[in-house]
Amino acid sequence: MNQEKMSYFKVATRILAASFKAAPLWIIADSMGMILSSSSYVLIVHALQNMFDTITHAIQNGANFTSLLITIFITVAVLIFNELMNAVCNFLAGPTALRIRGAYREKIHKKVSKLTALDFENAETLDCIQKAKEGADNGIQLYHSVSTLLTFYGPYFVIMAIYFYNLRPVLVWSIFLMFVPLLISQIVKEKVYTKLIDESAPIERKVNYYENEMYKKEYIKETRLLGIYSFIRSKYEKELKLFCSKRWDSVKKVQMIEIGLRALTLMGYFGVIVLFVSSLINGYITIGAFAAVFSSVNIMISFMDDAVSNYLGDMLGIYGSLRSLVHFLDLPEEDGVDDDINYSEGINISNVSFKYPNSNIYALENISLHISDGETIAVVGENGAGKTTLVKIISGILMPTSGDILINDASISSYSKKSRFKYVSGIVQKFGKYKMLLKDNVHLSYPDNPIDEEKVKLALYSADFNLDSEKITSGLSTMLSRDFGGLDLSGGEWQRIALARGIYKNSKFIILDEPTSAIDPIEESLIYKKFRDIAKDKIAIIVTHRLGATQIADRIVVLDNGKIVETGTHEQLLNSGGKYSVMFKTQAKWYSDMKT
Amino acid sequence: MKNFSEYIHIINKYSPKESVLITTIFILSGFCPIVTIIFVTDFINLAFYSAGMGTINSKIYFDVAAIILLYGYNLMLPAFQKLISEKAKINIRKKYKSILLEKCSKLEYYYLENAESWNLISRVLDKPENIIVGNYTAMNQIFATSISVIGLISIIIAQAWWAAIIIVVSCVPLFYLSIKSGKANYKAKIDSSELERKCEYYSEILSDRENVDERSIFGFTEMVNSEYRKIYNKAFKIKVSTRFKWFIKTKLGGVFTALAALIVIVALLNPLLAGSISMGMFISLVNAILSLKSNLSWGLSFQIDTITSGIEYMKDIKNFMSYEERLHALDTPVVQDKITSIEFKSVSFSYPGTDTQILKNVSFLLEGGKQYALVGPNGVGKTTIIKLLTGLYTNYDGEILINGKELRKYSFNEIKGFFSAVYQDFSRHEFTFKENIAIGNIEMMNTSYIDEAVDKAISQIELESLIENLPYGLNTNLGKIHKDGIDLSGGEWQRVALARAIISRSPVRILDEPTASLDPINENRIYELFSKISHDIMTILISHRLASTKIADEILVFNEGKLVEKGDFESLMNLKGHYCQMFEQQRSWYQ
Repeated sequence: MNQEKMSYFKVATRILAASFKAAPLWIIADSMGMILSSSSYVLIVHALQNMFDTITHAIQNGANFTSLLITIFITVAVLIFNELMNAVCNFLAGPTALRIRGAYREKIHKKVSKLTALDFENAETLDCIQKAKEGADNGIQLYHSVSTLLTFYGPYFVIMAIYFYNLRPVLVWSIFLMFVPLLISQIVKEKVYTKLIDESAPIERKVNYYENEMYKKEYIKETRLLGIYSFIRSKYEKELKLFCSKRWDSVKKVQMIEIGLRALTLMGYFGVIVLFVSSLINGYITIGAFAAVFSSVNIMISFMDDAVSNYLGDMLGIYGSLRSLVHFLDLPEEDGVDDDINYSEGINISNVSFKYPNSNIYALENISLHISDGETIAVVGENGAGKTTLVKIISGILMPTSGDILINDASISSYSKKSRFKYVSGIVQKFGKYKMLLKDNVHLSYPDNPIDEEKVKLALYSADFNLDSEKITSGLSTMLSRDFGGLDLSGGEWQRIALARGIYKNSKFIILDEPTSAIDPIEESLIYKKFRDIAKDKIAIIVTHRLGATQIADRIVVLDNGKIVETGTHEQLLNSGGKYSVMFKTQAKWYSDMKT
Repeated sequence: MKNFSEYIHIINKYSPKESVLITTIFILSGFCPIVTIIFVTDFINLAFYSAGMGTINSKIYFDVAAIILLYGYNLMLPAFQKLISEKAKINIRKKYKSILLEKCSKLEYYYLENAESWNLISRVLDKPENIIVGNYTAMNQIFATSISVIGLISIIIAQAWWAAIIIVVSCVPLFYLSIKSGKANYKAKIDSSELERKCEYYSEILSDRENVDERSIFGFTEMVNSEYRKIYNKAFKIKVSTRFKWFIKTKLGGVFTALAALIVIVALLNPLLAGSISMGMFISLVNAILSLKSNLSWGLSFQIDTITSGIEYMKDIKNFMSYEERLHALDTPVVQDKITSIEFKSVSFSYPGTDTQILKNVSFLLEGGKQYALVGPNGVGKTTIIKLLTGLYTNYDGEILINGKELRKYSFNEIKGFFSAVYQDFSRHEFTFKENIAIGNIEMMNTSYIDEAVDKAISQIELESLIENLPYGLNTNLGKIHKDGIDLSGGEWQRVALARAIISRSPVRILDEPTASLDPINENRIYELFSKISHDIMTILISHRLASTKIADEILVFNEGKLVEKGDFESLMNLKGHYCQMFEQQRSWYQ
């Protein structure tokens, strides 16, 4: 993945443009608020100067009480205006960021749906998605930094510089006196900080792990029975001690540097004060101007600090993840034509081989097979023989490394994703346990059509899911999973829902990849009988460990090490005495009456 | 208020030095504005004077130095504060969190299985050091702000007492409002957090690897995405309206200080014109009020928010501390030499806080040296029996007799001595390979016999070839938390768990569906192996695969919380009851 070539400017422009598109009104309002807020800070200085000068004048030359009161009221009004503007732009930053974030997320989700399933076998892609999500959050940061610098700090310092220049040109230097130490600080931090902070992190992971061993549900049953608390505790304490000392070391170093850098800032402050005091004493500026500036120096320095170390620093720090985001959005997408696939000629698998990325071994080698319309195929073989991979390739989830899948003489890869799966349904090995309503869990398989509750019920019934159980408190609208206040289901119940999901979708081609792995064998046989109905008039592929269940298939395909070693009906294979018959006899032996 | 002082108590006890330091630096910072007023007054008066005279009074240098020093103190304060707080956090993590952790490890088991108490436990153990130090700091900050405000007001009292009174009186509703909206804020946070979790979850469905197959086949991205948008917008509304209220509250403080400035300025105008206070004093007072402004409008709101949720947290801690503990929960097992019998006499059981009876009047007798299998559909109480036997729950009705003595009359560490177990959800301990096995017999672990015992378990479970491939052999760290750690596959971890069980000297061995994810051929291989090495002790096996249960001397069949059949394989088949029916059903596939 070639990420290096994009320039910061290009990345930033794209992100900023996308941000603006996501929330234009909020962004405009936010920027207006910031401009007003920043000018209100300058107004305060003006108002204070005016007030102090008027009062000084009054002391020296006798008072005009009304004009005094007016300047005071103006000052206070400016103060209140400043508070309000400050509130407005700080408030607006929140919803603006949320809007942008939501839009980015949706964009990422859509993009993910356009990637191929093969991409997900690649650790780099997963990493990329993770980084893109971080990038989305940092995109907000970028927007915020840029807009704050442009519409808040920028105008503020420019106007302040003009103000200073008008007071006395040499005073403009005071801006540099504040800026330079902070800039140096920022450079030092960039260089030294990042290295220091991370030292204790890997040890902290260990500490957290041992903490979990002491009390988390997944460990405590065993921890208790084995009586190994003290053992874990001593490991925990050893790592904790190490962690604490490492952590303290890094914090100490970092804060010591920080203190040193702040001393630098203090010198800047000193310089500014000297500059202004000498101007005052030499009579270049009025007492009012001096007092007004003096009361704003703190704010100016803290603004400068914010602008340099937070905003400017952040903008540079997040470049990496922003680039990931842009890179992710630019990943190649699947294409293909939209067309109604006609299964009447069956599916032709021609010389297909498949290799997972980063693997040297072929998961499938030279597979050729023709499946007729309406046929039910069972795929058997030991763990790791390539059964699931084969099913994923035939159904179009994965694309073969070489060879082709032809439907109606057209390669499956020439169809768009949408048409490829239009009539495909089933249950995959990694079926989802969606934390949603029961009915939504089923409806997910047919999302482009409005939900049909009767059909949902029928699908659940076909999958042998017990809707009348007392724990299904709200019927189809029962929330599933504890996380969102719903109920917990057993693995078997979840699998039945997944099955119902597969049944609910109108399909012409159905895949059943170990559809009963989490269901008691006791009830398993009942469900297998139903598969006959489910698979009727469709192309069906069943993957199963339970060799006895293959009898519902028209044909059995035996896989071994990625190759088809046998095909045939149950009887044919049993008689041929090959791999299938050996496996079948081993399993059947256990059910003979003889005690082993 | 009591919950409040609890924080002070904790930090004083576990990090006394740092607590004093934190308070000291904040008291000093509280006095800073007042001292600043004094020097600034003097400085401006002198500067004013010098400007008038055209000569410089050298005392002005002293004032400038003092002002810079004071500013420096404020500038350095965050760094010092960070340093001290970090030390305090480390101390509290070391000393106080360990207490919480130990308490949690000792709890009665049902607290860990109950969703509500588990949530509380998770909250309590989630970085208590940050919450405690954070709250203590917030209290000190409020204290410091109070000192500044009181100091400022006393200066004003001397000039115009009535202005001071107006300011003090109008302070009261401001504080009240702050605290009240702090609470509302806390509630709103909880409301939106569920929606937020939901959004995160939907985002996960739409972008993770686990769901890629169904996402492709069913193409539900658009539908879930629009659901995501709906929930996101709902959370958006709550958050924005909360934020809006928070800003009103916060900025009320700011507007208030601006008005206070107005009162002070007007009040001081007369004394200023009359010459009873200097221009310097006037300017420095105005400055002091302005710098307090940001403190009051941002800081105070934030600190009150921290404290409001801090009070809730302390309530959680108190609740947690009142949870009952299981005696001997942390002790090592007291090895029991022999098992002659385990007998259930009319045992009934419901999980605490629920009404459903999981076990209904169950009676049976198990004898030493035999192998037993518990079978039946999911959720009929097989695993519950194991939980009762291993002493995790003791609130059953009826009697469970071990070697003729009621289970509840044994101490917990004696009960532990009877059993070793491999669960379906066995733990994957990220220790070394050797430790992973050796902890199965913790008593022996520190003796010289352990090496031999581990070697024996390894050869029995046939783990040699796996170890050969590990970089440091037996001393290789397993799992992902160690830099040089090696993660095993699911099946390999499973075999390590089995080795852990067989190294134990306990007379009863329990296998609770430890092989559910294996294919039938491999499962059978494991059980045959196990029965071979367990011939002289009692084993209790739970499995769905009926063929695997044939090796048992006796099979106990459960249905709906009751024991329905019991006997060896042949007698159950002859009985033609549940077991036979289930077995025939499975067998029918192979005919």
